[in-house]
Amino acid sequence: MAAERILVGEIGRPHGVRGLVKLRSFTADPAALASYGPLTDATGERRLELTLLAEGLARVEGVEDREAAARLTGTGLYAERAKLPPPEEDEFYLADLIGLRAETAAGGALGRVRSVEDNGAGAFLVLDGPPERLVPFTRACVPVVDTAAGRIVVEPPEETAVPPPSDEAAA
Amino acid sequence: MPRSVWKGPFVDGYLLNKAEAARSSGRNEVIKIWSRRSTILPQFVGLVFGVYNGKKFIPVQVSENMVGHKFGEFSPTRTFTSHAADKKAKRG
Repeated sequence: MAAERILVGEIGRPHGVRGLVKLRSFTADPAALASYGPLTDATGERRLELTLLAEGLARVEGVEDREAAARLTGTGLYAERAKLPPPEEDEFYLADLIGLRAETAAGGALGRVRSVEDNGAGAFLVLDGPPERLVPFTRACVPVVDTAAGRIVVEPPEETAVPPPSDEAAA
Repeated sequence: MPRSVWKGPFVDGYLLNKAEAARSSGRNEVIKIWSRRSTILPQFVGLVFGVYNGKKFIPVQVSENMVGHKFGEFSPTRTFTSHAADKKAKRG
């Protein structure tokens, strides 16, 4: 189910006249971009060997002048999914979770995982539905994550609204 | 100027009552709240709140590190998207 190749960065504008390029890294640690082996473009046909020179600055093997570097602007950098280190227990790559089919324990469809977000208070899944649902990524709410089968089991939590008292809302 | 210590942390009273009830019930529950201004207290640890951001109720799993912060800090009101790349999520 998981994508075989993952977008990990993008080549930006040229830097100087010797073929250096600016680099936008999408990885958790920006420097980890170069550690995922030879990267490829969106088609998978062109291999791009990068040498990081400073934060956000890189040399691409075979690119020696500014014109060649400018032709690479906007090129997406893709890494093989298999190159990523295995996650720890109860840890999942977002790329593996996104797109999984969400079902209830009884087999009812709840849509697919559109995104996984974390605002500093635990991760939560956005299920596209309809209706759209935000589900806390906890063992109680998501007891089964089966990336191989492309599905998760969701037990939607009960929702209790605690609106402000009417006199306060009017104030 | 910070809030005076003698006043104690500010929490909307109706929230406290609901949190106590949710804790004692032990159910898999999201408590939807509008009170972004309330301080997170130690008795909220372990509960899951849905904090309104003007559009949606963002799930907030309260942990010990969050005590003393406000609920609104964990429910951004502006959209931010990023690429998944090699980022990971831990199941709580």
